[in-house]
Amino acid sequence: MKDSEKRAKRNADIDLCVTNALDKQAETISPKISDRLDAARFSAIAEPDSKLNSNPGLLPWLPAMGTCAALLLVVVMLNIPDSSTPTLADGDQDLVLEVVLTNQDMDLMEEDLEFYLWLAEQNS
Amino acid sequence: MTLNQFLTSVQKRAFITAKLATDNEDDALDIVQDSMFKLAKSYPDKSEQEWPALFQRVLQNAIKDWYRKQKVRKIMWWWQQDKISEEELPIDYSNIPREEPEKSQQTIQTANAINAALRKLPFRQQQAFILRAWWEHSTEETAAIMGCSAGSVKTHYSRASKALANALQEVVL
Repeated sequence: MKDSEKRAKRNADIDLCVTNALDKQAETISPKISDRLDAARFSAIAEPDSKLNSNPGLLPWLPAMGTCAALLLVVVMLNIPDSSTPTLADGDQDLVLEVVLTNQDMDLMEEDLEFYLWLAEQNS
Repeated sequence: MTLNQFLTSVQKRAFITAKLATDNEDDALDIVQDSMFKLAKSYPDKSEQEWPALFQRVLQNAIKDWYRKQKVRKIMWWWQQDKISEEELPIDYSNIPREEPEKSQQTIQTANAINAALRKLPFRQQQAFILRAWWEHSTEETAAIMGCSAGSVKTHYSRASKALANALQEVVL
């Protein structure tokens, strides 16, 4: 037998020993591990999708978080004062109403606006 | 054969395969569990002839993912590198059938030496050896599972076989 053939036979014998040893390890796996493997298999067969949810992190909270964020946004939107349009104080509103009802000249109003504002303050 | 029967027939060997790669029972269990779920979820309609190669591909990908995560962990926690040592794979002594004390001790030593030699192989060589020699996949199937050419599988397998022979000839022959 040539050296190369001897080496090939030796390697094949060792491969066989290794695979036999691995077979033995698989056969003698502890009952605890075996039970856990069985449980994993049952779960995989029964609910293949359940593993995705077994460690979900924040996933279950997403709908609640989305609702809270939307509510917060609505509340903030409703409470932001609109600074683009000037608002009238109560006295000013009365003055405008008075001007409209009495058909006073608007040009005069523009000229003496400060006077009418002062007058409104005095009245209130 | 049902999927349940198929998984029953491979689960222990899958666990040993993952344990050889990870040297950690919990990680190995997680890998096998993930592989089972992926097979059951993604390939329930495949024929039973396709299951072995598919399961093996899923399993090997899960092991590769584990290695990637370990690399990231090594980078993140460099000071823990020393923990990933080349210790021998622990054997569950309680389940080895009782033999005569000397013979039993020899069996344990042999098993430890074999595990250590397998774990010292580079991952691709270990993969090729386990798939070809233990799982008895053909060269072509192994190439498809490993995502490489048949020639690469032959090279990896041959190198693994030589390395094991060198490491174990005095132990097992």
